[in-house]
Amino acid sequence: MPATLNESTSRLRIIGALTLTTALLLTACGSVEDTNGNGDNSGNNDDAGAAADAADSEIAWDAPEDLEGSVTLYAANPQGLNEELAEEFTEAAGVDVEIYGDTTGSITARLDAEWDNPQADVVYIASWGPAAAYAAEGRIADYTPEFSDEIHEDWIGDGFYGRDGSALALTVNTNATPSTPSDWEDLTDPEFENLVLMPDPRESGTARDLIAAMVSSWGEEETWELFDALFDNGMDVQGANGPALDAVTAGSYAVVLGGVDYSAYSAIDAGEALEVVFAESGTMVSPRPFFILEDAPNPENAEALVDFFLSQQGQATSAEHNMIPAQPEVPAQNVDYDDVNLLDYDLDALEADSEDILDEFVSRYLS
Amino acid sequence: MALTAPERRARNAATPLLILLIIGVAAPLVMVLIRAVTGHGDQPSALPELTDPTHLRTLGNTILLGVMVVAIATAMATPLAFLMSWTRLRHHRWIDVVVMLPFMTPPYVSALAWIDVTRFNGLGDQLLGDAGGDALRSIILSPFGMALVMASEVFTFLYLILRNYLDAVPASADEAASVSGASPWQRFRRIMVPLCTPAYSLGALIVFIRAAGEFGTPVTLGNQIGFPVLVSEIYRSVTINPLDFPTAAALSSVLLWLGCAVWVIQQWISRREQPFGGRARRRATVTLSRWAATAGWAWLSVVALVSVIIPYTGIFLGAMTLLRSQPISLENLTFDYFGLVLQSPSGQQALQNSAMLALVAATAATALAVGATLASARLKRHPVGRGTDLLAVGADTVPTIVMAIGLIFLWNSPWLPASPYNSPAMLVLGYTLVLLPMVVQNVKTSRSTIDDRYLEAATTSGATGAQSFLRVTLPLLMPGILAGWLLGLLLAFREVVISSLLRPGSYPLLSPWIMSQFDQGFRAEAMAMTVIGILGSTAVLVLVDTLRRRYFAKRG
Repeated sequence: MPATLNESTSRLRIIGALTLTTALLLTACGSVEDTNGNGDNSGNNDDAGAAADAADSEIAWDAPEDLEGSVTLYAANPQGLNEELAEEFTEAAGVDVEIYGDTTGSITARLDAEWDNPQADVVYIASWGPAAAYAAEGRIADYTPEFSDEIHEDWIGDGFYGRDGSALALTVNTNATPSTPSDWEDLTDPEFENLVLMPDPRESGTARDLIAAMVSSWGEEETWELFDALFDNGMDVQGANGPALDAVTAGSYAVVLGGVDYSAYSAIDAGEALEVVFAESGTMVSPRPFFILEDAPNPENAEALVDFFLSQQGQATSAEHNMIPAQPEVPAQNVDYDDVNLLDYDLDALEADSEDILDEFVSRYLS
Repeated sequence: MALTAPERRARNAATPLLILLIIGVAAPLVMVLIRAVTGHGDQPSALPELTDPTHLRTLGNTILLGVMVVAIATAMATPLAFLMSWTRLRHHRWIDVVVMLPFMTPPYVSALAWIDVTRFNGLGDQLLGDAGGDALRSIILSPFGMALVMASEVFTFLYLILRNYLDAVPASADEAASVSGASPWQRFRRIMVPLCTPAYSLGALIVFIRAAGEFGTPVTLGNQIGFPVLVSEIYRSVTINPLDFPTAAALSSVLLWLGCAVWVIQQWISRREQPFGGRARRRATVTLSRWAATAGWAWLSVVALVSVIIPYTGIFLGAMTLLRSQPISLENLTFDYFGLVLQSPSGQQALQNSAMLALVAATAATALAVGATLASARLKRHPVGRGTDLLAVGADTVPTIVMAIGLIFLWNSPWLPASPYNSPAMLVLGYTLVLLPMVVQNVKTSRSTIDDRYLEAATTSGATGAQSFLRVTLPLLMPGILAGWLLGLLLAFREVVISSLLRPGSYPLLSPWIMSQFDQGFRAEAMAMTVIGILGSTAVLVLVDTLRRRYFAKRG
């Protein structure tokens, strides 16, 4: 059948052409540079060497002996950091860590659904609010981790503690921005018209806290004046922290207003044209809390794990992953806690007020 | 109710199945609905708030979106199903693969790809200029755009159901009309429409319910344009602080009623199934005029552009871009990410785990679906048959996140002596429940093409129940079984919600792995893994399709 023959030769030709094009493309393309150290990419990171270094040095954590079995950790991102902490902990204490890694939203949903029969021992999430709510409902075990007297005082909650934190910044795409802003107010300038993006406070706990911190520091009137001007200047509100940073990295906007800083540092390390700026008039550092569940199935292992979180070794690992450590003794990679100019706020009070403030914000600007 | 002897046998066989479905599907839903009434923990019931204008608006949005998705999916699927079944286009097997591609793409990824293509200074602006980019953006960033993106994923259901049905329509039905002098329009209106209505209504039902329960597009595009639907509100209530479980449960019950209402309408529409009669099972073939063939190819191109080419451009660009802050150029593109994700141990494990669980779950769901279909066909008016029928599609009437939470409530209950919870078996159970409705729809469509007279003939000729099942029913059901199994496999492989909420600790799965990369800003890795998952799915699809064609070619 000549028709079939024709068809198959022409198909062969197409395949040949495709292969050739692909080969040409391959040679013309760039390649991923090894962004060593901060590649907290959940699979391809092999930092066993770094972990061993930390374990050998003077900041090494002394694990209690006679522990065995495992401990279940529900942990929010970044997963690379969680996996490295787990690895170091297993090496020191001989206890396996089962990690359920997901977003804070999925973790809290699962915690709530599992409430009658908790499966997690230790929980680490990205915002203070849900931890405070769990504490108020008596769902958190009463345990004081070993080094908790060495961390920032205001990172100590009612049974929960900040393991590490991130500062809320102005993340600037240096290719797309007309100039580098130095304060919130700069973004009300006409040159930033339609170029500013803020994570949606309805989806992002940190954006919500930032608004509440501004209100607590400056009062409602001044805060709404700022946002009136920002929204008049075409500021958009969209998604959680990740998508907002992505939209700015891609150049759809020039500045993220109030995004978490740590993911921007990883992107900068990878070579993206980004810059992190802290507002002169002050911002907030959002501590990321951990706690042990009231009915944790493996309480002893859980206690050892949270001790390790706050130890110098654990803190140094957090710092390596661009987080601000809870212990002032441990130097941060990018910006130390004391070097960030903070707004005037009290974390616990913020949680109490932030819902009303959010409602006001939504009714003013988002409906 | 007086039953004949075969009906009694069918009832006895179906009762255990019904019990299984009650435990599997109904019990977890009840666990959620209880909380709609009683509240959860310290929070009171939210049922009284359902009449709030905001909730009513959300319900209105959900129905509007569902109807739009059904309309767009119909426009996309119906001509293609006809072309691929009754015309020479059916010899182009690759078209089937193209149509399946959107189904293999995780919906949130295609929504993200669309958003990326149409964003400010994105590919759309670069290719079409500012005015063109603005126009495209205003189309996509609208409820219609949401429906378009969602229809691009779900039209495959409708297409497969209609195509399989049309494949089974014997040529004689249409030819008889043609010989009697009916015009093409009359043949369409008097023969095709009545014949296809039951199959179409099943497909439309599944599309509507999927559209009402799908969360990928509503939580990305929908939230961006401020178009809340029930699913995105439920998702918000259970994942965003302050958690509000009673509201989620109350809204879920609304979705459940909506699903049941649509099911009832579908049952009513398809109340008169049309068996084809036993003779001349030759396939129908229509020769298209040149004009019609051109129009067919043009429509195919439009569908491919919307459902495959545009989103896949976004996905591939995402998977190959080195630096997002730099312009698109050859130096800024790389194939390295494919290698990187394939080498990552957790990525490999995620692929393996997802493939294995999908295989087990798709097979289990298919076995259940065959049982449920036969039971409900034999016992049409009996409560056992009706109950089986409803429960088999029950999981589709609520969004998967509600099902997942119900499953946690049930299987993590402290009073259970043993439970699959926190083991891969739990995932298999969850996937099976989620796949079941879709597999059932496919098997049922095949069942509706079987004339009961075949079975009567088998019985009269002295066949035992087992013989007539193996030699008559099973071979005739085979197209639906294969299609359902394959769809189930592909769906479970990329499933998000069950995978994300029910997975045990340190047990990587494909979609959670991809989502986690996105959330942490590793866009290229996420997109590269998506591509790898799709390539793997495509390989399976082509393999199964080849086997299927051989099987049917042998049977003639």
